[in-house]
Amino acid sequence: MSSSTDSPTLTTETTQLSPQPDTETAKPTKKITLKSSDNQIFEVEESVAMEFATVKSFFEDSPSTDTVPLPNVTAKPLSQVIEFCKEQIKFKANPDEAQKKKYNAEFVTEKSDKDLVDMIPVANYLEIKDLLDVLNQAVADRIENKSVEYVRSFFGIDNDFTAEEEAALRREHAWAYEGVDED
Amino acid sequence: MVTEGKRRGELPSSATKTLNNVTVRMDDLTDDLLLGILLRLPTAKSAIRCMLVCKRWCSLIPTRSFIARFKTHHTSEKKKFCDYDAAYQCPPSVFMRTEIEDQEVGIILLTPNVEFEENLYTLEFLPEEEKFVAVKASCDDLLLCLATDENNNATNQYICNPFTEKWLLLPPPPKRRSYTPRDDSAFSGLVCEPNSPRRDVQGQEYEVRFRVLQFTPISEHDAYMDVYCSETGEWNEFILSGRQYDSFLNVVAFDGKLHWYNGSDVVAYDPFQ
Repeated sequence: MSSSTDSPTLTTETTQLSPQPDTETAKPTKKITLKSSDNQIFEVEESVAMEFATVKSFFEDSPSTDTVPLPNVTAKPLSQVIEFCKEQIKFKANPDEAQKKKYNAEFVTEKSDKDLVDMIPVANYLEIKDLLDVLNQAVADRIENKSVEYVRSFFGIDNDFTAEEEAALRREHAWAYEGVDED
Repeated sequence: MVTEGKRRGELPSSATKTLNNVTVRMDDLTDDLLLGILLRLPTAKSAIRCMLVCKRWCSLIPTRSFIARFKTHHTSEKKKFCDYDAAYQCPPSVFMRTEIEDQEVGIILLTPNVEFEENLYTLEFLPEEEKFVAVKASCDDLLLCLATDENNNATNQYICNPFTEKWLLLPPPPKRRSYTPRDDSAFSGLVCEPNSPRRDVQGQEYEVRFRVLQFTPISEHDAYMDVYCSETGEWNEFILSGRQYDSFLNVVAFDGKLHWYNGSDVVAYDPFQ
């Protein structure tokens, strides 16, 4: 993840519980605390949190809450999702399709294969449709015209076909295995 | 990859409870999420290749719902011909299956995959008297169809477009002097002219220019080739000789050329030259 200065605040739960005297005066915008499954705390601006449809409805149901537990989201994909949503907020304020496209392309380009795949369930769970579209397309583009072996290792999938089954499928669609990129 | 059946990150109305009670891990891709990726693959070829990744993928890809979603996704992106081309560049034996479902009606059903139970297109629009029709070749949106009688003798050949349901009856190919075909290896190919504009400014479809090629091997290196030209509406007869006509395997029309494997090399033939 990039070391941009406005990365999400990452603290442990214990530090989060200690008082934060400067927050009120320095930042008038409301902050929302997200807690990942591995107990990392992310403090994000309300507008960013509202990009997560799941979190938004959580607040609509229980407006008095200040910490949203996300027990099935780990810290790394969550921090990357937050990074993405922060940028999307800027584009909402100043629509610039070309810039947005450029940012989205760069966002996925610099991510590892695993990071992309790990973010997909998170984007789905938090219901961030734009991000899910961007991630799905990025993953599809990375496996386009790649060998079956490449795709298996990309997703960490074990081949569960018998040698006979695999040979039969290859024969049936022989043309689909021709002209594949080098791994 | 762990699969534990379908689950989605949907929150029921009582969000508080669910957020605290969700125990499933989110680090794997559900079927829905996986399909979201696969339907964005730029080509149908890649999607078909992905069937070999594992049994789970193989069960998800050749289904009616996935194929329909794949088509919709690619069509809505204004790549209108992308998926059709990918499907139709290939001989029916590999991508589409032809099948006489009901001999009474004699409908031919085209399926993008053999595991695909239900069917997207039929050839019902062809003249009613044709009871038995088989797809012999395909290119872009066009199919070369051979109609046969009850005794499996060829009667008529049609060029048709299953999407627009337009069809054209081809005149019979030249009558052959006596000859003995080498074996059962006669085959037909269909090649559309590449890069011809599909529509004019009013959105009216242009007539696509195409060639029908029929090869009849007669001896080890020799073959007859009959070529039907869409502009003249006539057949022309050629006799070909050379190693490239030893065999005609894996015939594929692509980019205005017919390609096949002769047993040692890939041969490309350009009928528009």
